[in-house]
Amino acid sequence: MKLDLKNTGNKPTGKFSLGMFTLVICFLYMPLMILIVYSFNESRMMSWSGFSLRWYNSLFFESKNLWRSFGNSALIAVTSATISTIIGTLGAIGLYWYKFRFNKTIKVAAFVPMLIPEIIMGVSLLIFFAGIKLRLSLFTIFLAHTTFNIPFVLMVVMARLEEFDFSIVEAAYDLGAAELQTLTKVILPFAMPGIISGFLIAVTLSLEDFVITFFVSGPGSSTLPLHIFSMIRFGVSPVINALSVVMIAGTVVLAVLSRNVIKYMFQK
Amino acid sequence: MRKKYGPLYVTPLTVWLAAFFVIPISIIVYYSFLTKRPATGGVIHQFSLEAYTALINPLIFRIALNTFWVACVSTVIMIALAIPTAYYMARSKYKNFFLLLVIIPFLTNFLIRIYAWMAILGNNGILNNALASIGLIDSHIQFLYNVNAVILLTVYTYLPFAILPLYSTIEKFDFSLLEAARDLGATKLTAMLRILFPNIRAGITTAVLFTFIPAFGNYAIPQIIGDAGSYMLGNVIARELTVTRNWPLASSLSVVLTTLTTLGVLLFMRFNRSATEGAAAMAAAAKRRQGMRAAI
Amino acid sequence: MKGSLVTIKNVEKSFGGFRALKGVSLEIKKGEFYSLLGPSGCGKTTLLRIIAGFEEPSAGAVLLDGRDMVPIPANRRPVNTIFQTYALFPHLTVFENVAFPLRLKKLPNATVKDKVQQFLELVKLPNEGKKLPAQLSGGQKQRVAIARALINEPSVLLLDEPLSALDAKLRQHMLIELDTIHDKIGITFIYVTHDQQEALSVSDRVAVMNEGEIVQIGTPFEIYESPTSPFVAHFIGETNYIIGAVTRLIDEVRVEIEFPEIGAVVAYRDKPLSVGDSVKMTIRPEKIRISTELPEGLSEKFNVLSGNVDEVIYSGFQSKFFVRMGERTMFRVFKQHVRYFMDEKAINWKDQVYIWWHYNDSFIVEVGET
Repeated sequence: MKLDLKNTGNKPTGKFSLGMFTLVICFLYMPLMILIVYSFNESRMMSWSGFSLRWYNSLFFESKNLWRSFGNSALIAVTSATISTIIGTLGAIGLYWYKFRFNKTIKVAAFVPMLIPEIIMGVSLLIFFAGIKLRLSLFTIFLAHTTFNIPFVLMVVMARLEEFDFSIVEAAYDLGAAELQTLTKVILPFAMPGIISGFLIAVTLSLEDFVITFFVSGPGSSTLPLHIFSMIRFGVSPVINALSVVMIAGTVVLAVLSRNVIKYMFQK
Repeated sequence: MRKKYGPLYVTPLTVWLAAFFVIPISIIVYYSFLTKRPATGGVIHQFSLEAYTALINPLIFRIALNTFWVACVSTVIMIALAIPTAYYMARSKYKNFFLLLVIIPFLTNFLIRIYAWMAILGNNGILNNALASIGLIDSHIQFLYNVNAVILLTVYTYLPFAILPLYSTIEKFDFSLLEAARDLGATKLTAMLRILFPNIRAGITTAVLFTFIPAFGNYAIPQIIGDAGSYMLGNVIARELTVTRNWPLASSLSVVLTTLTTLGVLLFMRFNRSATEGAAAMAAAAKRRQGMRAAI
Repeated sequence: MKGSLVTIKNVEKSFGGFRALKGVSLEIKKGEFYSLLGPSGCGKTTLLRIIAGFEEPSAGAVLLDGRDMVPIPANRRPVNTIFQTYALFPHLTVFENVAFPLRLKKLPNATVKDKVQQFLELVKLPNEGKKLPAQLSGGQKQRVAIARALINEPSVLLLDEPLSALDAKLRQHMLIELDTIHDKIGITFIYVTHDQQEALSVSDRVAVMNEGEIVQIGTPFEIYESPTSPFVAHFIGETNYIIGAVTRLIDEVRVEIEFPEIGAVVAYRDKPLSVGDSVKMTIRPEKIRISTELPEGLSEKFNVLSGNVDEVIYSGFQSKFFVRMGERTMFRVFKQHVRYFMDEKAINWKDQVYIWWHYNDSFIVEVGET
């Protein structure tokens, strides 16, 4: 009965919330839509003068540095996401599964990096790398990204493990599984959606980070966000419009794709 | 049996975070009490409170005030927009689609989103071009490079941070309570204020924290579309670190920024009398938000 | 209409393409304990929500004391609701929950305090005011919900399956209590339920609903004893149906029907019938007597049949017998155990038995074509 009502168009919300929702969606999308439209503009200026694909041409064939930065970003995203996923998953299993001293302390402390302002992490890492005389390079960016990614992976995997019915592990023990077997045959397969989510989050965060990367990058180690930053400092450029469209499209495709992949692989 | 390997699993995590988080943060605190190396920058290992006394300075004070102003105003705007939006989403049949709709701009690169507004509001941007073409203005209007532009962009960038935790709290709210309140004589507005709001307080707390912290630690937005008058503490830290190379001062500023953020958070949570509740909801919402982000 | 407090006139409600209510009309008298009874999805809750003001009817009128209620929002109707899930405000204490309507009216503190205390006493919770809803048991939550709904002194109290979240024992108990409260304060109760026991035991009148329509309105006695349709007969209590053909109209009140596998049976005649009509007859299982021996000296007003016991279900105070009359005909018979061991000879599985009932208890619920 209740469900019937819910699904049959009972109007629970008023005009005000609908208005605000519409306003917010327009606010969020209007700038992106404008970028999309103007990426096809013939003119260099932000006034319409005719349809053209020239900026896409210049994005794909005349922007070597941009693509080199993108390569760096992708490399760092994949490596830092992999390492942080391994560390975060092990940590989540350890913290969730085993009770030992400092368990609670570590649990709380591991989430602090998520809560402090980004710039603090960037500054502290820069000073730290300078202190240990580590030259700023792609490697320092990798270290920084892995550091801010770990808490996110940890959180997502722990969230998944919390849904776990512990009696399953007891059943595994009862059926004669050794600890290692329990881990590989029971716990890891169960945690897999969380692990994949964690990995994807780490990739996204890494691809997107600007502030921390800005501090820990050295000469010749530009990433895509750093490259975009240097471009937009010189003002509006139609190549950035085109790049934006490619990135927005990439985001949407990846978003929908990874959702469907996860749905398909782990249908509940 | 469950004790044996526990610490082993946690070792990489602990070591990594100790090395690249705890130690660097400790170094900042340590550096903030050292002396600046005069010519080349960096530090001399000699105790000094200079970096802190240098903070007592009208310029820094003005910037700190501006930082608070920007963070508070944008947080208030975000919460005001996010509550009705999240409410609408949570009660809609299409909530999953709407969630995706809110998350997509949020996943779009941060700098691209700033750039989009530059294309609109810049001196040669769409708005100026449009106004000029209908003859309303002769020369362009400077929309960017002021504190209002910084607030606008902060709201634009972090709004989903407010919507998502509020959404997940409101979605769990028992809407029949609103009907009960109406039934007992409350107007729609009273029902919202006296029944909905107290019951989603945890979500509001989370949303405030998630928006206030990044807004307060803002660096990139004022750097790109702000001017000297809209500089925030983050910009001063970056300048002292990379331009003036006064590392003790950059460190003391970082310590102050972190302390102020933490204090603000604690104060708010205390004021809100739901510290534990809020923290729990924050964890839950964050989990959900991240889960959502990944799931999408 | 004179004497009626709530008048529902041809109320229609559609959700999208689904017609939840198909022209419902009701008259509810002042002070009545009125039940809307029906299976889930029959529209009873929708009707209640329309009376409360949570839904607008697609067509039709809702009058309260002669006043049209449709344009009046829920918060200004002199009607209060007890929700299925109680809908207690989790952030407010029991006291503040009950005080909520008074706080909205900004009554002085002392008045609020007295009145809330008075209503907490009415629901027998005088000392739980400081607790939060989460600290209460299901029955206590129910009581708080009652007190809160009554404190505004509404002229009508709407109850939406209020007992469905309680366990069976508590349900019995709360039902009696609701009845007591109704007697004490004397306002109109409109009670929505799918449980016929609940509806029959406390209501003054019952409206049985099915698929968005009212199928029968009457006192519990009328509804049970003389259902006007197979749906009501089937939905209220248990019953036996058999389909046969009218062979003889004996007199004004009696009709003879021929059933396959059974033979001729006399039934009560309360509708126009003619010979040859195909009819559906109903007889309640508890109206049928059963024994292994044919009792002597039965009056001709009784129908007597014989069959074999197919199944016996013993449940303490009674036994249920499934008596097979033929290939396709089976009778359910309930026998109350007054003193089990003193009863006549025990009836067992496969026994040949006689069953009989007064013709008055069997009647026709449906007349079909020949």
